[in-house]
Amino acid sequence: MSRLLFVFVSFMMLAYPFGSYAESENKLFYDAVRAEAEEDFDSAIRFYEESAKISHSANLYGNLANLYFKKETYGRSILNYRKALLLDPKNRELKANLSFVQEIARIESSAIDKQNSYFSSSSMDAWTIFTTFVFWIGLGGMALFFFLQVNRIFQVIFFLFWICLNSLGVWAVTQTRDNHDLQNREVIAVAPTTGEDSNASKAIYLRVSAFEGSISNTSVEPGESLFLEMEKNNSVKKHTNSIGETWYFARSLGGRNRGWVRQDQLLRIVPATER
Amino acid sequence: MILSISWQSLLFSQNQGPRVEVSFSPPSITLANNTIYKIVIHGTQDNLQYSTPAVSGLKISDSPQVFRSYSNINGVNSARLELSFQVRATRQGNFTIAPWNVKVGGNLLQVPAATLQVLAPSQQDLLRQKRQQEQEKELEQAAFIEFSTTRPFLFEGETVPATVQLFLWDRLPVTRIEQAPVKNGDSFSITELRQPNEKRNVLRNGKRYAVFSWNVGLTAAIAGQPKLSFSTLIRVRVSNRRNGPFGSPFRNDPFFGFGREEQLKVNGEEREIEVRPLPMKGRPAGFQGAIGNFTSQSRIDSDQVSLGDPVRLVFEISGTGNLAAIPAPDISSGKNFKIGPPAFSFDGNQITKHEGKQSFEYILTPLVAGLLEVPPIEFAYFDPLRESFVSAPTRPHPLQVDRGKQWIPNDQGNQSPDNSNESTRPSTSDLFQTEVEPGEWRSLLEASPLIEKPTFWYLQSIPLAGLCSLSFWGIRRKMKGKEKFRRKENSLSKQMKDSVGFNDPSSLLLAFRDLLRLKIAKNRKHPNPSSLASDEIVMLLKAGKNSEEVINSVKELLRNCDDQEFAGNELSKQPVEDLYRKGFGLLKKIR
Repeated sequence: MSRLLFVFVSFMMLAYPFGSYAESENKLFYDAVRAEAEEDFDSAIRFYEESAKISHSANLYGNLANLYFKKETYGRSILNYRKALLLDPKNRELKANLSFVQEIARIESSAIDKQNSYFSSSSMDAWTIFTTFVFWIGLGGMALFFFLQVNRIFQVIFFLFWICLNSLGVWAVTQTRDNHDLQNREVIAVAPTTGEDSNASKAIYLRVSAFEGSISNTSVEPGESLFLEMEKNNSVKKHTNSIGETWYFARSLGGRNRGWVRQDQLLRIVPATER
Repeated sequence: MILSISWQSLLFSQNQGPRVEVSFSPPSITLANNTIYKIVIHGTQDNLQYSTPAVSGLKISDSPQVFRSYSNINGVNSARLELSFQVRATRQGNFTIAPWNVKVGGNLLQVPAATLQVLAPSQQDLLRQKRQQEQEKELEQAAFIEFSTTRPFLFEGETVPATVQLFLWDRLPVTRIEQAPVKNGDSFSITELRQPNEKRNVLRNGKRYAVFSWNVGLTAAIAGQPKLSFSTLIRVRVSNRRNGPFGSPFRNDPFFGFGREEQLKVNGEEREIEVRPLPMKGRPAGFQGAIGNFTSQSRIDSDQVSLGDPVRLVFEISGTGNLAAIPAPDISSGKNFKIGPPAFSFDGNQITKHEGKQSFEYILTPLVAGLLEVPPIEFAYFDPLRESFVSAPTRPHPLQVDRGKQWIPNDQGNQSPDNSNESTRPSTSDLFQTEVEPGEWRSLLEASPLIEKPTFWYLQSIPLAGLCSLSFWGIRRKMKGKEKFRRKENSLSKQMKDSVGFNDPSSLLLAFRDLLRLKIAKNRKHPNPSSLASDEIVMLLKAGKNSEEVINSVKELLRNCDDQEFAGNELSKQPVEDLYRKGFGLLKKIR
């Protein structure tokens, strides 16, 4: 009996943190919805951001993006729509909202936004399964045909067909992997604080050197996509200056615009902790 | 001294040059009998080149029996080559085969003329002829093809369902149907013949049959009285005993004898089908060749779009008729729409394509805003039962096209979005609606790809294990097969040797033939050596680039092997040991 009691108590102790975990993210979400209904947008944003630190949902990021749009903070609005679309890539409403915000903010959508192709990052698993399936089925089939002495011409045709399908699969997996890596390095340019991120003239400068007074190569508008440069050891290229500011080296997708950008002016779509 | 004399006599005989004799054996026959047209060439054994002469009223076989002999009588050497052609007369009278030429080892020799007398058939011949006709009739009843359609006549371009049936007598030892029935005649087209339906124990002509049926769509192409028939090839196992008690090779039980497989062509009765032209009178403008009984309808996927947004227009024809032959109807695009080429899809009986639904999908892009009308589609068909044209146009569809979002040029909206005029910005109330439920919670924003998960790589060991098992099974199977083959080869070689000891040429030749089949099947990678007929063996030998001499020798031995089984011939006079040496030598030579 005492053993049963011990197991029950242990279970409850273990279950409690998970229950409270789930409850807190929901609670914060509903608090945010209530605050939004009362038109207290700042509180709503704060609640949503807190909730997003615990867990992720497409509706949460969609609502957050809507609020940032209402506050005319287009950079963060675009960032949150992108996050929402990562969780729910087929949501037409989110796509329409994103393109509308980009149009308002006068930002061209990046090539990655337009990825509806068969080789987008989200189709990587499908291509992997396809290639694996083709590889093993083809190999098994060829072994079977060889041992059953099936017509030699048929065997050659089957082999060539198998090679073609495998090549297609490997190429597709490589393409999707490249797109996946690119997406992981993607950051959205935002103004340092939400209050200053209106699109009036708050351009983000891509500087020649990693300090505030340095001249800039070019500038980007809040909401534009940039890609972090990688070092040879596969770490992000960054620099921390004497006053403790961290700067990242970022470039546009084509590589035409590049330079150092302060850490608080860039926000990752996929947080570094998740990679 | 003796050697010198024989050598001189041989030289003498060679100096005389080859001599040709020709005869019919017997020289006079009745109409129902065969005779042998025999050509004997003395003084050579070289290969011959010739083309068989043709005489009206005589049927001369293309593959003569060749026999070579060499003898030394009283010290005189002589070589001889005999060709025996089977000849059959088709009418009464005297027939003379005019002198013709054969080429022997580079020399041209003239074959003298020979005359055959063909007499009227005797009573016995007539009886035999009658029996033969009965056998042929029986053979026709053993395997035949029938086809049926649902209508007595067709219209040009009309498609009807038809059934092609292959009847195989259950006593006929059919090993396989080599091909699906083939249509003879270009006035009709049929759909692809797929897997047949099989029905057993069907009674017809007092016999039981297995019936294989194919359903097809039959389309008449040309008006008139065209003929249509079907034929196919089957493979049957027949007995080697040609002179058996019943005459017909199918009557003997092949499983107790050394049966061989033969190809048999099965023909169906030729039928005339009336194909009428379509009437010109009353032909509507929208008629594009649809014949049958149809209903048509059209629909659009949205009745309200923005300017430039595509609209899908689907036009469907349902019913029975030549659905596969109906072209997409033309739709006049006018100035209101841009219309893309249609996409086809068929949903229904895929075998006959006679019944179902044919859909044509058009993409329409409105070019002007306002309340537009998607034009009706003119569709007309010919009803073959009522023998008249029917118009079945679709109804027009109203389509509301609004202007959509307008692009604001830069020079007009020079201000930043913050202080831009509110009236130019589209309403956001519809766009940015707040979701009141959080939806599905996820711990990660993006799941790690499958390729980076260790489980995925561990799981690959399952198909790898499967492949290894398959390879192991295959290697074992191959080794077993080789061992079985080797044992069979040894057993047949031993049988050949033993038959020399028992002076049994029949057994020797049978063992030789089986060994030859094994060897050729091994060389040419044939999967089933026991099914190889003599013609196929010769064909494979030719494919293996064997010399003409080897091929001819093998042909001769195979023919002798067939004859030796039941009749015995001159070969039985040859020493078995010579046959053994010849056969063994040939087996070594073949490639």
